[in-house]
Amino acid sequence: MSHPYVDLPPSAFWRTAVAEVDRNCFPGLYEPRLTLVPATGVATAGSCFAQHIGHRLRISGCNVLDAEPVPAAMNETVAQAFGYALFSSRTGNIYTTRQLRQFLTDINEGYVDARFVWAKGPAFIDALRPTVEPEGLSSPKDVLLHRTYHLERTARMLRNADLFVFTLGLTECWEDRPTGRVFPICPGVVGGLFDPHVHAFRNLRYLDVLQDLEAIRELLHRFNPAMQMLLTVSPVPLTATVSGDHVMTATTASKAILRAAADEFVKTTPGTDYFPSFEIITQPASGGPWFEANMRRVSAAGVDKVMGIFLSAHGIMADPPPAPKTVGAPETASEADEIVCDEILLDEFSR
Amino acid sequence: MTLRLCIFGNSHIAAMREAWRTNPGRWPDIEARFVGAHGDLLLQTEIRDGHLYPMTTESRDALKRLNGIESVDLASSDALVIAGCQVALNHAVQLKRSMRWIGLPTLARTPELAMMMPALVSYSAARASLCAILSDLLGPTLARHFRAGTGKPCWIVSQPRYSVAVTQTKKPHLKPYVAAVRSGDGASLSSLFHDAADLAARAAGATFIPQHPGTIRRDMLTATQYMRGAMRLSAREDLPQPPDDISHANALYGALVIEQIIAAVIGQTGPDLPDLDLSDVEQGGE
Repeated sequence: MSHPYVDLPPSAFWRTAVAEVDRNCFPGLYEPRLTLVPATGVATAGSCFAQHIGHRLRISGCNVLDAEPVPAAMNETVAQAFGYALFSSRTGNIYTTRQLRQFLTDINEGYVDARFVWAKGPAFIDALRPTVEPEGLSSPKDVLLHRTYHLERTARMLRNADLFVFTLGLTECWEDRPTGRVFPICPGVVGGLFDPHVHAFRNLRYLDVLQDLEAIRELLHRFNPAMQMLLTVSPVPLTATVSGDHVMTATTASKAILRAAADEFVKTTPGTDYFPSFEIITQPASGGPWFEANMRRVSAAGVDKVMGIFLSAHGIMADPPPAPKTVGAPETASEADEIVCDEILLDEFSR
Repeated sequence: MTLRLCIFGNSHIAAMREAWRTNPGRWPDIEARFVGAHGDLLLQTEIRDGHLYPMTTESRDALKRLNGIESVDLASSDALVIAGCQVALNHAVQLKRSMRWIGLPTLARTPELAMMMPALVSYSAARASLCAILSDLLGPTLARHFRAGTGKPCWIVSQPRYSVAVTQTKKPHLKPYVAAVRSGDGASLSSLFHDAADLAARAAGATFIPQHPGTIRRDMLTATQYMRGAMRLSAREDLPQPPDDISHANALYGALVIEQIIAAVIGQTGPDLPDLDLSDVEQGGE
């Protein structure tokens, strides 16, 4: 008897793809559609988890582009505090597709909107990347000069990018009502003043995310028409939600929307691919748990596992990913500690 | 009441030691001991029971040969002072090679910032970078060493800026410094250095004493009258620096620094140069 399941590959069956395979490697889980070779110019952006991807690609010898490289006289600690070497430009975390879309629009148009400067004590910060200058700058004019430089440098970098890796983090964001501009973090948390008449909570829906992704691709192609896009969904749960739902339910809804939109986008768009970092970290079949004791931060072993599978699939690293650790086990030289996560700033308000 | 100072340093301590030696009785009620050593020999020591002891043959030789001592009684000092020890403006000049910040006149003259080779950074990023560099240098490292081994208050005195004579030098390694002087960035570099050194000293548990403003010319240079006739740190007291030396200050400068140290330690503001009568201070060596 013949039916559609007869000729399916082992990766299509749970038993042969999950239950009975070496789950350290998950053969067939990720079969790249895009080419990544050492010469490929890679640009990275996204949420906290994207920092791991950029870092590991860099140390694996990939050509990770950097619009604003760390100046020679700046040490690693200072560089990290000021947002250097975390992504391919000093964007800070880009959590939502809407934020990335608006950022790329600004770069394309060379548009520097003077309205989005926040006061922080006696200093001023860029509302569109509020954590890259921890002490702020001395005037709004200085903030705008730095943003102009940032946009111009990023434009130059994107013209050399062959592959844009974006990690989708959140659907929840705060929007400036008059302009529709979204911020990476709620006004008032690290700077600026929250005004309920001006600032609105927005939880992006499936169609919002999908349309953003389509717009992002179009914007990226203005820099390089051949640029390819690789999407991942961050496995890091929300620190806090304003949706009214329990934070765990809100996390699931948010990640489901991002995952579904990414799936639709990749399935219908040439030159794109999806890497299942979310699945590797959150699926019980993957072992783990791959989180630290707070069940939010991805452990160094979890990052090793994700990036091991990714790099192996691209033939960049032959070593298999590590076996899981027991929950709460102390990390040795935890790379996860070095990740800069703005969203964690919200955690302060839960105490 | 006698104020007991213990002043440590590398070659730059010679200016103060010479001022002290050639002006006996100028500072009544002050008891000063000078402990000098080259390189990082002062770090090759350990502190036990309020005393500094050499831990290597080289540091033992330096204490004996240059200072005539085998150990240093820190416990009996009211203040520990570190002079020179690499805390110098030239590190800010080196910083400028890879980064620029708002406030530098040369930045304002740059037409396309995105095309500029050095990175545009914020002033606070530049200051944090310079602070990190200074923190690893001898002065702050020595301050941490002293603070860890004693509870004594500690001061770090700026190394003097290069002499005005540096503008005439042909030495290639000094060209960036001279270029910085001529660029008009001196005030901004000087301000950055002061802020970063202040932070680095505080992080090391010490207090920074900047170069006396009355000795500074064009923000980045030291007037020749404070540099000419500088002495070496050596076992011999009468060994001058070579004629083309542009790094070391003389006893006139050293006397000013001693005044600054005294003022800082007793909690006063620094001395005002015009009110100080230093006409009788020996310059030494000339």
